[in-house]
This record gives sequence, C-alpha cells and structure tokens, in this order.
Amino acid sequence: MKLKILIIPLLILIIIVFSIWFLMPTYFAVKDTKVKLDEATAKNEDIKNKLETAKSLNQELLSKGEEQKILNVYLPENKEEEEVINYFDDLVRREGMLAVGLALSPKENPQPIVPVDPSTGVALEASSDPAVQYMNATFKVAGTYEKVRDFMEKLSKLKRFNEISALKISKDVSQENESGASNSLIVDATAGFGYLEKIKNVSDINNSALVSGKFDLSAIDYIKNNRNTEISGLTPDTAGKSNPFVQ
Amino acid sequence: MVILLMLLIAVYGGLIIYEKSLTKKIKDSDAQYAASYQELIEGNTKNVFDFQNRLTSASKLFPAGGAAFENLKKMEAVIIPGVYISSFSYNPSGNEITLDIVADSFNLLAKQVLSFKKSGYFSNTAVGASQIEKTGIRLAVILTAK
Repeated sequence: MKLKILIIPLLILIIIVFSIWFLMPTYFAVKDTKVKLDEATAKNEDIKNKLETAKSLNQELLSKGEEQKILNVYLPENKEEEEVINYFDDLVRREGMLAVGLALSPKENPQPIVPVDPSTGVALEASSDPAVQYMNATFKVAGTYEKVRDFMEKLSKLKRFNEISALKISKDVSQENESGASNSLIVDATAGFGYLEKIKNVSDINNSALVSGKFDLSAIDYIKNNRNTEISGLTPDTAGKSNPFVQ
Repeated sequence: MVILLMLLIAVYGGLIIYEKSLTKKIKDSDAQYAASYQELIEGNTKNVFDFQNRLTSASKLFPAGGAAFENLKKMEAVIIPGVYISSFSYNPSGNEITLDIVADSFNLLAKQVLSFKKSGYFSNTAVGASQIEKTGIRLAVILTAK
C-alpha cells in the first residue's frame, strides 16, 4: 500500500527529470539541427542557381565574340610589348613625327585596397581575383604642336587602356632659327599600359554577373564610343636567315 | 502516469531518429554543395568569372586615360595672344600642370595669370619665379586642374 502511494510521486519525479534532462535538450537539438538543415538547403539552392546561371552565361559568352575581343584588346591578358611598340610606331609615322626613343619597363603596381565594412570599420576579405597591372612605356617624340596634339589625342583614344603618368612638352631648342623661334616641340612622356591576367583560380563566387544573372556590358559600350584610334595590325614576317647579324 | 511516461519515451525516441535523419540530410546537402562548388570554380564556367572580372576592372578605369590630353587642350582656351608656352608638364598624381610661359612684358604675364584664374578650369594657380631672357620674360606657373 505504502509502495503504491510512493509510485505516483516517483513517476511524476521520473517524468519531470526525464523531460528536463532528456526530452527538452533533444527537442532543442532537433530544432537547431532543423535550422542548420534549412541553412544548408538554402546554401545548396543558391550554389545550384549560381551554377545554372554560370552555365547559361557561359553559353551566352559564345555569342559575344566581338565584345570579348574588344575587352581583350582594352585589357589584354599579358603585357603584349610588341603591340605597344606597334602603337608607338604607327602613331609616330601617321603624324609624321620624329621618334627619338621608346623604353618599356614594368611599373610598380599599387597594393590592392582592402575593403572595409563602413558600419563596423572592420577590414573585409579582399578578393584574390587578378587586378589590373601596368607596363610603362617611356617615349620621346618631336613634332609641331598640331602633330603633338593629334598624337596625344590618338594615344588617349587607343583601344588599349593607357594612362599618361608623366608628360613634358617643351620647345625643341635644337630646331631654333636665328630669331630664336621654333615650331618644333619635344615630348617626353610615360604612359602606363594596362593588362589583366586571366583568372586561374576562382575565389569569389559572389560575382555580380552570377547574382544578377546577366553581364553588364556598359563597359563595352564605353570603350566602343570612346576608344576609336585605329592602328595597323601587327603580322609576323617569315622568320629565318643564314646570317642573323646582317640586315 | 505510466502511459504518459511511455509516451514521453516514445517521443524522445522519435526525436532522436528524426535528428539523425536531419543530420544525414545536412551531410547530403553539404556534399551536393561541395560538388556544385567544385563544378562552378573548376568547370568551363571559369570564362564567365574572367569576363566579368575584366568588365568590372575596365569599368573602374573609366574615365581615366585622357586627362593629360584634356589638360593640354585647355591651354588652347586659356593662353592669351602675346604669350606662349615654352614648357608644359603634367603630373596626374596631383592633377598638376607646370608651365613655363613667355611674354614680352610683365603686363601680358599678369593678364595671362588672370586668364588662368578666370578660366574656371583650375582650382589653384601658383605663380613662381620669373626670369628675363633674350626671348622675353619667362614665368613659372603651377596650375591645379579641377
């Protein structure tokens, strides 16, 4: 009888202890796991969507040969020194200027800027995608003001990106006549020609094209509208001669 | 009470089984994610990333590239008759133009400095030393382009 009286409180105690020690923690663990599953599912859906978008954009790229060509001329994958020499030669010859010299050298490229979260001021992870690098072309040419002006204009509108980092135009004293007047100018300038290496390893999948599902081609339109200096193409000659030390 | 306890034990067992099934689903989802991620970064879609990086990088360069020429062109609009430039230097880092201008008189040089200031092209006009030479009076001027 006494045992029967004890059983009910004992069962209540067992139920309470079981609920607190086993049932509740398991319930909350299941709840947490469900949240994690939802997150994993969302993440999975996101990457699947990105993969599908990337495949569709890759298909779209096949029909954008001209745009790719324009962009690869504007920012080639490597220095393409031969093209820079060809630009220089073509511009000088076309303007009827005198080429005094040209030197190509690598430019010290700026350190990538680490993005900062504006709300917290904490540095964010910088993208490891390749950044634009530059090769300096330091040149010296001589000609009249009109020729210099046209040369500078055509240089600034070359289809390949370049930016003057130093420019000096001065009177060519060697051409001065008896009255001391000279129409000839000497141009000493350094232009940085940009290039952008091809992506070797994709590090950031949150690419704007994958997020929006399309390429923003406004850059191509800008290049088409603002970079229109035509340069004669560079074609290789037949190589090989019995004495390479004679012309 | 016993029935309640049995029911609670059953619920507990059910929760444990459910949690295991959820954990398995998470593992499956993670495995699918890893496979999709690898396909995305190593597959032939790499061209998409490269093209987009090239587009983004090109956009960041606009409108740079023509400042030197634009500043040279401004000289045509601001140099007054009777004055000429004997030397023009452009430094893009400070957007500075360093000039040596030559004229027959200080009056013309003063008018030229006024022309620089009134043109609206420059945020600062700093006048340096002058020197009298056989070709005229040479004056150094540093202009900060807007």
